[in-house]
Amino acid sequence: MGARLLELSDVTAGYDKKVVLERVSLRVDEGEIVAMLGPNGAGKTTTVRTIFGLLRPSQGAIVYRGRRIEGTRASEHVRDGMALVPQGGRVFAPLSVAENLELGAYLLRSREELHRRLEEVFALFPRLRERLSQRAGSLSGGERQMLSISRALILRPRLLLLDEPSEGLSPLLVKEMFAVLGRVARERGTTVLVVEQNVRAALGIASRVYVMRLGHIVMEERDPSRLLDGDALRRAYIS
Amino acid sequence: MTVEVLLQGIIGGLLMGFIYALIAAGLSLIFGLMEIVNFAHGEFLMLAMFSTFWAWSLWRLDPLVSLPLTAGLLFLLGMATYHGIIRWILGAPMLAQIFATFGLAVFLRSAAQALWGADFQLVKNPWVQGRISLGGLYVGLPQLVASVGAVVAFGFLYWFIRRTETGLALQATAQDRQAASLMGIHTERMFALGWGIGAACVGVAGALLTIFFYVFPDVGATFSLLAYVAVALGGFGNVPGTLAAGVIVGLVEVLGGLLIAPALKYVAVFVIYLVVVLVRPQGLFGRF
Repeated sequence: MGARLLELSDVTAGYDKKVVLERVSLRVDEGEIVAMLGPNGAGKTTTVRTIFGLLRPSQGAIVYRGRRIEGTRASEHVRDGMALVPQGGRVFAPLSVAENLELGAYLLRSREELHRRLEEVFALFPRLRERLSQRAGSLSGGERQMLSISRALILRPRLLLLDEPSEGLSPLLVKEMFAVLGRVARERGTTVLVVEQNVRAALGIASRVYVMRLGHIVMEERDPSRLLDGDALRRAYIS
Repeated sequence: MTVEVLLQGIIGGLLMGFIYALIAAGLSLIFGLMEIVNFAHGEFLMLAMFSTFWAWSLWRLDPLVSLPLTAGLLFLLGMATYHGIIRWILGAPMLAQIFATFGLAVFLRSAAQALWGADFQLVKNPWVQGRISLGGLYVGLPQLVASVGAVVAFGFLYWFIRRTETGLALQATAQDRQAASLMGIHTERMFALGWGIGAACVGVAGALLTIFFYVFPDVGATFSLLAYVAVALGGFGNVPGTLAAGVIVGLVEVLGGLLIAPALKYVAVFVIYLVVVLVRPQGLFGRF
């Protein structure tokens, strides 16, 4: 197991006066693929948004690479090696695929390096190369998600957060995408924290699993395969 | 009315339209970026014109020479406005945002009146004077130079937004500021830059206008009103759309004066504005 990369201790967060996360604690170690599962409204997205600085926790500590990061702005996290693929992909629809990828590489200063990184993402998603001049808004749902993931990977992040990457995709595309994520984690050593409702897809690549329910972590499983057949997961969802 | 008079009017309308477009471009850029209407935009123009006037009055710098200085000063004023006022009211209710820039407008206008008086000032003997004849039609050289300058500035703005990395980041911030921050873009810096560039646009327009227009504390009011119309016609936040809209405003203003009555020239402009806002609220060209 690698060194501790991210740790949340007793984090409470929400929107205005509504508390969504209550005293959530979790950790992600270097090189892990951690899946966070749970039903709608469990607080998975809020957890990711809080980690990434899009939401400020009202209490608790978030430590990334040994440093407290609560209240740090999202753009700083990107500089610090974190990347987030938000729910729905959030591509810049009026801009071309090439421009979206360039924006993903905004912090890169060298054009040659940009081209090298583009080749890396084309190796993962060859279809994007054919769509370079196309408006991102005209891509299919799957292609948009590929673009969004590529945009996040182009800076070679140390920690990749994904919020429901399978949302709205066909089973075949989900399989393809999760295979790519597994490959990225294995070959590049990228640490992944993926929030998912598609349990099978997430368990297929995860090395550890958290289950959330009503703003709390209700289960941590170090052997995700145990959740595939048994009813432990079902119990955690409804307990 | 003769054809010559009509053509003369069309040329005059086109020339003024390009200047309106440049003024409106700054307003549109700021709105597109943050969805905040800068009600002090006209006062920024007034300050640009006074800055040009004083550069001429104190150091005999022709408006065309002091133009980069004026643009730079206004850029700094725009950035300062963002950091000093706008940044603090970003999450505030819309009324607070409206009154903040409106209050700034009142303050700047009153300050100009207190400091420099209400008299009309004029740059005398600028480098560009007189008129040229084109096939029997007369074109004022100051107006021609000013509108060419406005088109060049507009082209530069368009190139900057569409062809540079920073421009791309501005576009991304305008479209989805949260997604932009996920790219590592410091969105607050983009907002400040947008205010700087928006103010620099009126800086250039103000310097060009000073070649042939009187300078006084209320000078920004009319121009900013027409700029609001151009922004609405072009599509709120649609910078390229404001070019066409500015030209339409310039043409309608002049032709309305010629075909209806000079006193009613603005009525024609505002009627078109009302029709567009009622029938096509997103403007003629939609959002950028």
